[in-house]
Formats: sequence, structure tokens, C-alpha cells
Amino acid sequence: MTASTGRVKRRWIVLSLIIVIVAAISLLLTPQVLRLDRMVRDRLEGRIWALPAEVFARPLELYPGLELRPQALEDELELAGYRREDQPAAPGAYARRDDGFEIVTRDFPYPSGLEPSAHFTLTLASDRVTAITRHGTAEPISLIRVDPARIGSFHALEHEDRLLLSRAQLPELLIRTLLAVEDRDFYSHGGIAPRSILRALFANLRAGSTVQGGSTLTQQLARNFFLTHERTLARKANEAIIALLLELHYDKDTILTAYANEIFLGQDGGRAIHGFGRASRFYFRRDLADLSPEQIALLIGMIKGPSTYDPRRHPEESLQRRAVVLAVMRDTGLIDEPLYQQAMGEPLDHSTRAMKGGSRYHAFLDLVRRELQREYREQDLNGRGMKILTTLDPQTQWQVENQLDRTLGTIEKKGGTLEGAVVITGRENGEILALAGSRNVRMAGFNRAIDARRPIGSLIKPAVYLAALEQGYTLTSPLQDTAISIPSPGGQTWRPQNYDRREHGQVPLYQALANSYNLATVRLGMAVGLDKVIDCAKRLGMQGDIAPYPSFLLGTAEMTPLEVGQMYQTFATGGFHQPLRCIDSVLDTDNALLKRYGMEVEQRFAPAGVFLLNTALQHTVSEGTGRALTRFVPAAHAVAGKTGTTDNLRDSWFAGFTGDKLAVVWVGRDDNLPAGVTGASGALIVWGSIIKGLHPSPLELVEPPDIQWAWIDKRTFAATSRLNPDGVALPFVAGTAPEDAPALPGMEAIEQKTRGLMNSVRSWFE
Amino acid sequence: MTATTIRRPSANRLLPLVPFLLLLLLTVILHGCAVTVPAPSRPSRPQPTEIPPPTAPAPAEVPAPVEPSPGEVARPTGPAGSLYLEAESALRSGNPGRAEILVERALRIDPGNARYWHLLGRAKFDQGAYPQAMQFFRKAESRIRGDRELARRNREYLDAAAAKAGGRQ
Repeated sequence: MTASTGRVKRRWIVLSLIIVIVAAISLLLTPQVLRLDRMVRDRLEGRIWALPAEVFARPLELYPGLELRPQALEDELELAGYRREDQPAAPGAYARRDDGFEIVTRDFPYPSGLEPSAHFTLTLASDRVTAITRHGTAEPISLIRVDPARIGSFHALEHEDRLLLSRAQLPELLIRTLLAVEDRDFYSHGGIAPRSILRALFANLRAGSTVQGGSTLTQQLARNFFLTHERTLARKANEAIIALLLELHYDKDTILTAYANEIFLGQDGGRAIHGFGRASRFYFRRDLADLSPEQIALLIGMIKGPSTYDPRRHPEESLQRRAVVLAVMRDTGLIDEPLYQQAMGEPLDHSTRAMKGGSRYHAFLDLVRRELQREYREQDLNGRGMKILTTLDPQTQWQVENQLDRTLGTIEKKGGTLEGAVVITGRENGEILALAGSRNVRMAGFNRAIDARRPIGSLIKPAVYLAALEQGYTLTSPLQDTAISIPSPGGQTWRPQNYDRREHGQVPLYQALANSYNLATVRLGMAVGLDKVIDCAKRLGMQGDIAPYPSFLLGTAEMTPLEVGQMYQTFATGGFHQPLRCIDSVLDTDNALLKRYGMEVEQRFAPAGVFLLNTALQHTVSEGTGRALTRFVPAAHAVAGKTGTTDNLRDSWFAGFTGDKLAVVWVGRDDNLPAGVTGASGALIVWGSIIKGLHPSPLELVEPPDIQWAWIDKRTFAATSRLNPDGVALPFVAGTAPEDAPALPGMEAIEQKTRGLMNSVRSWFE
Repeated sequence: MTATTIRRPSANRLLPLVPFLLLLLLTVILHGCAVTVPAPSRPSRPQPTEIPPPTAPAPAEVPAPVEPSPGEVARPTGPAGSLYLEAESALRSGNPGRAEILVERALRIDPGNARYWHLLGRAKFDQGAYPQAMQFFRKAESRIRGDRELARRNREYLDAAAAKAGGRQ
């Protein structure tokens, strides 16, 4: 009795002790559990559903007659994540043949609506598209486009990249394989499954290796999503609590979907690959729905160790792991024996080249982001899954990237001292095709194309001359390139000089611009009136307050390369101001159009004045300060452009346009020390190196109806005969040509212009 | 991430139960915490923001149609010709927004073609954006080379747009 009473007493004591301990621990843990509970709900309902905005390049338009190198097309397809296959059949694949390509595009939501996948054959000859026919029917296609490459994304956590999928978008074979390998009791346990742990232990012991996981998917989600990967008892406890909380708050499909979108599956440089959707694109260049059983097995196998089983870095381990998962698939009846054997025999997918995403085009993406931030909140950009269709032309961008650093290396006197920035736009539509904010285009950093405000030097001169042409000056109006002194505020006197420190006497207006004479320009600007020049500069697109100092005439105003591009766009379009655009449209996650950034134009100058000015800018390249450009672009292309150099050679500029593109290049130093190059020996060389590789089209200025041409003697500026070796054909607004100059109508004018170009070619060899 | 060896403290057999009891207790408590379960198959939709509606607002008044001119304007050929026809069709069926998108695509391929600029002007005109329509007609005018019929029609539209734009000011 005594012994029995003692035992009962002891039991009560132990039980009471346990109750006290449980109560104490409960009290101690309650705040922690409540904190975890709040975190679970906040994170799962917030962050995990945050869809990054995806940014796309422009789609590649294909049509017979298009100039296109086969390698450029293949590079574009690779950038867009296309797979090279022998017999392409599924969307997102292509084959390269001797005479062209066979391509199967993917569905893509354009602003005009969803464009379905197309399977076609493209024939190339001599770097030109000769035919496009629909696969199967051989029906000719006059125009088709390849869905654009994804060039970046905006997301809350900059180093994570995911492609969010819904439960319905997750293939059943993937889900069932996932559950077979990782958590067979997923639909019956409550977040923690002791039986699974025991079974996994048993299975692993029997197999001699790890073939099953012990943690439930819910625990894995808790571990991957919320916690660090340290292996401590406290972390295990937190993981278990969170798993239970997840099961408490959410249904099984929600947890499964969250897991499928969250699971970490590898690393692409500084970018973590999360979720099956993005991993499928990254490793196989396919949508998840298009994966074969062995590809599914490979992905599921990677969960155990994304780095260890990376198919690119560790193909052997990856294959072994895939075999283990395929065996599970067969044993659980997900695949039959023949399919298993076939899958086992498949080599690792040949898409072994990594698909780079989001790590390039920093300067351009920076501009896109700034444009969007004007209209969208940061959380919309990061979390609404918007699709941003931009104007970036990958081929142009690659050319900029390839040439900028290389060319700077050839022109700088001391390695690595020069920096550069480049802006390239479509001449007629103002779309920004390429942007570089640094010679090191692969590193995000100071974006000189947008943020570096530098004096523009002689790039301002066309504004001075255009203002004069608007006031009735002609291309042959005589200007005095002689010393001038202008009193400035404070009792000082401003005495500008020419770059060569010489005076050139009386020169015709177009030559003063072509040779960038400072003295003639200052005299002209002062005669026209500073207010009129400033008004002209503003109509050209220059923004902000401009102090009316005479030095403005020689380019003391500071502008960014992008702003210069905006200003020169007005010349390039024949006097129409056209806001530069880097975004075409924005779609929401359901592909509905949120906003279009349509084309806008505004005529700000009469066509005749701009035509005369552009002709003078062509002379700048053919015979003036830009003549070194003929080393890169044939004289017959009649490029119009202007060099710019600032005091002590601190800034080197070149801005100009061909028939299809406008480009601005700045070269200088970040510390504002002399760069040691002029506009012609620095930026012009970079400009030429870039444009040369883009196969520019010749510039044919559209001649307004009120223009007439006349032969002018370069020495006397008077009318002359076409036989005069010093003669040059120049355009005039009707009625302003020298009195005795015969008008040159129609074809004759064209002939004279051609002769002018031949003169340019001749001078090139002199 | 997969197989995990669970180590259990052997000193006290009751201890492993403690966390489960605690969790049971907390589970009961937390059942009271009502939450909104997100839709299982798709992300929760964000709240409406200041993002503007996708299409331009309807014009205050329906523009009076320009008197049709006799004679047809020659249709452009070339790779973007099919886009021109599609855009024209969209205009005829009262969808100038779609026509605008199609013509802008055509202009990307053939930016010097006056007919595309003219059609873009008409797409703006039909949307009631007369000042911008005028600008596109001017742009078309600056690109016309020798096509008198196009020049005449373009001038008609330019005048009509100017009248409308003036009327709205």
C-alpha cells in the first residue's frame, strides 16, 4: 500500500511537473508562435505572389528582302531562349540549315492581341532574306515576327528570378513525381509526418543512398521560404511550427503551388533561379508544360542539391540522380517500363548553354525603370507581373557593346582612363534601339547616357545656324571668321578663339559650320540674336533655363547624351520633334493592355530650313571636321553629323544620323580631367566603329518643294558653271539663290548632288 | 532537403511529446485567427491603383467624317503592305486604336512611307485626337513625293483636323 501510494504520489508529481513545464513552455513560446504565424500569413499572401515585371526587347520582324546575317538571327533566337533542334516541332525551337532556318515561334501577347505560334521556313542568300514559307503548306509569308527576348525583370528582391505558375499550369506528371519522391503522404498529413520520416529512413537504408526525403513538402516550403539553412534544433522546431501553421491556414493546392514557385533550383551568376517554371526555361529553354519525363526527373532530382546535381556543371551526378528519380517514377507507376527505358537512354538535354537573363542591358533597363516610375508605384513594378515591351534592338545593342570598350582602348593614351556613353535611336520613329552608360556595359553603375551632364561644345552650333537659316540666311551667306571681343558682365571681355587659333576670314555659312569655326559662329549668333538661338535650341528639345550668355553659342550648356539625342532627332526627322521612347507598351499579368506609349510628333521647324541645315551637316562629314568618318562609312552614304569638343579636350562628342539610325557618342573622363581627344579623334571613331557594323542605309534627305539647287563657286560664293572645279551644288529656298544662278530642277539636281558625293569620295583619296 | 535523420533525445521519453502538445494547444488557439485564403490556382490580384485604363478616352464628340474624295489612294506594297490593309480595315470597322498599333508597326519597318504617316493621322483623327492627327498629316505631307492623289487627300484631312482642333479650343 505504502509503496503503491508512493507510486501514485510520484506519478501525480511527475504529471504535475509535466503540466507545469508544458504551461511554462507554452507561455514562453506563445509570442514566438504568434510571431511566426504573422510572418507565415504576411509572406505567403504577400511576397510569394509578387510577380516580377518582365521586360522584353522589340520583336524581330522578318520579311523577304530584309538584310540579315544568319549568325545575327541565331543570336537573336538564342537570346529569346530558342532551342536548336534537328527537327523543330514544338514552340520555341529552330533548326539551322545550309540555306536558312526553320523556326517555330511561341505564342506572344502583343498590344494588338495574342499572336499564335507559327512554324515557318526562312531562306537566306547573301545575308538577305529571300523567302519565308509556312511549314507544311509552303504558303508564302510576307511578314512575320519572332516573339521578343526577355531582357530583364524588375522584382522586389533583385537577385531572385521566378516565373510564377498557377496550380493548373503545373503538369500532373511533375506534381506526381514530386510527391512520389519528396512527400508521398502530402495529401493526408497535417504538415508533419512522422511515418514519412520513418519510411524515408527505411527506404534510404535499403537503397544505400538517399532516395526519399524525410521532411514533408510543407516543411521544405517552410525551410526554403522562411528560414536559414542552419541545422539546429531550434530551427527544426520553428520549421515544424511553421509547417503546421501553413497547413492550418492554407489548403493543399495552395501549399503545393507555393512550393513549386518557391523551390530553389540553381544559380545563374548573381541571380537565383526559383521555381519550376523559371528553372525549366533556364535549363531546357522550354515551358514547363513541354518537358519530357526525363527532364521532369532531372528537375525533381535537383531539389535535393541544386548545385550538386546541376546538369551543366556536374553532368555525371545529374544523370545518376535522374536515374534514381526515373526509377521511382517507374516503381510508382507514373511511367511504364518502355518509357522508363527510353528516358534512361536520353542524353542530358542539349540545351547546355546557359540562358542569360536579367544580367545585361543595365543602362537600357535603368532608363525603362525610370520611365515606368513616373506612372507606376514601385510595388506595381515589382509585384504585378506586368509585361513591358520595349524598343531595344538586340543586334544594335550588341554592336554597341562590342565596339565601345574596344574602340576606347584603341584611342586612349593610357589604358582604362576614358569612359563613354552611346545612344542609338531609329531616325524616323524616335525609338531607342540601344543604350550604353559605360564602356563596361555588363556592370550596373553610373549611367552616363542618362546622368552625365557635360558641356556639349560644338554640338550646339547647328542650333545657331538653323536659327540663322530661319532668319533668311542661306548656305552661302558670307560670315567673317575673324577675332571678336564681347563684353561680359563684371567688366570682363570674352575673346573666343578657333580650335586651330587661326582666323579664316570670310567663309560661306555652310563651311563655317562644316569646319566648326568658333569666331564665325559667335558673330553669326550675335547677329541673329541670342534670344532667337536659345528659342531655336528649346524648340529642338533642349530643356531647362538657358542663361543668355554669348558663350552659349559655343556649347557651354551641359546636356546628357540622351538629351543630345533628343535634340538631334529633330534634325533627323526634318524638323519634327519626337519624344524618344524606350517603351512600346505595358501589359498586365493577364496580357491586357495597360498603356501604350504611342508615337508622337510635333512639327517645330519649317522643312526647308532643316533641309538646308542637314545638307550643311552632310558637308561637315564629307569635307569638314567629320571627314574621318569616311574611314568607316562610305561617302556615298551621305551621313549628316557634327563633332563636339570642349575646353582642354575634356569632352569628345559626335552626333549624327544615317538613313535609318541616329547615334550620339560621348567620350571623356569621370574625373573631368582632359580626355586628350577631340570630337573627331575620339567620339567620331567610336561612332564610326559602331555604325559601320550596323550596315546603315544611305541618308536621302526629303527635299521640300520650295527648294532649288544652284552651282556655287566655293571661293567667291557666287553662281558659277557646273564645269568650274571649285563649284559645288547647294540647295536654296526658292528665290534666295544668287541672282544669276540657274535653277537646277528635278533630275538635274539629283545628278549634281551625286556629283557632289563623288567630289567627297575624290577628296577622301586626296 | 530530402532525407533527414531525426535525432531524438533519449534521456526523457516524454520530452518529444512536449512540442506536439504545445503545437496542438496553439493550433486550437490559432483556429480562431480567421484569415483570407488566397485562391489556390492563381496569384491574388493587386488592389486597383492609379494605373490608367488601357484605351484612350472616347472623344467628346464623334468627328464628322471627311467628305470622301474621288479616286483611290494607291496602296503600299512591300513587307508592311499587309499591315496597311489590316489597319485600313480596322479603321473602316471603327477600331482606330487597333489601326494605330498596326500602322506604327508598319512604320517601324518602312518609316519613310508617307501613306503610313497619313493613315496614322487618320487613326488619330477617328479617335478625336485632332491636334495629333494634324501633326501626323503634316509629317505625311513632308514625306510625299509625287503622289498627287495622296497629297490632295492628306491636305483635306489636315484641313478637317485643323477645323476640328480649332473648334475644340
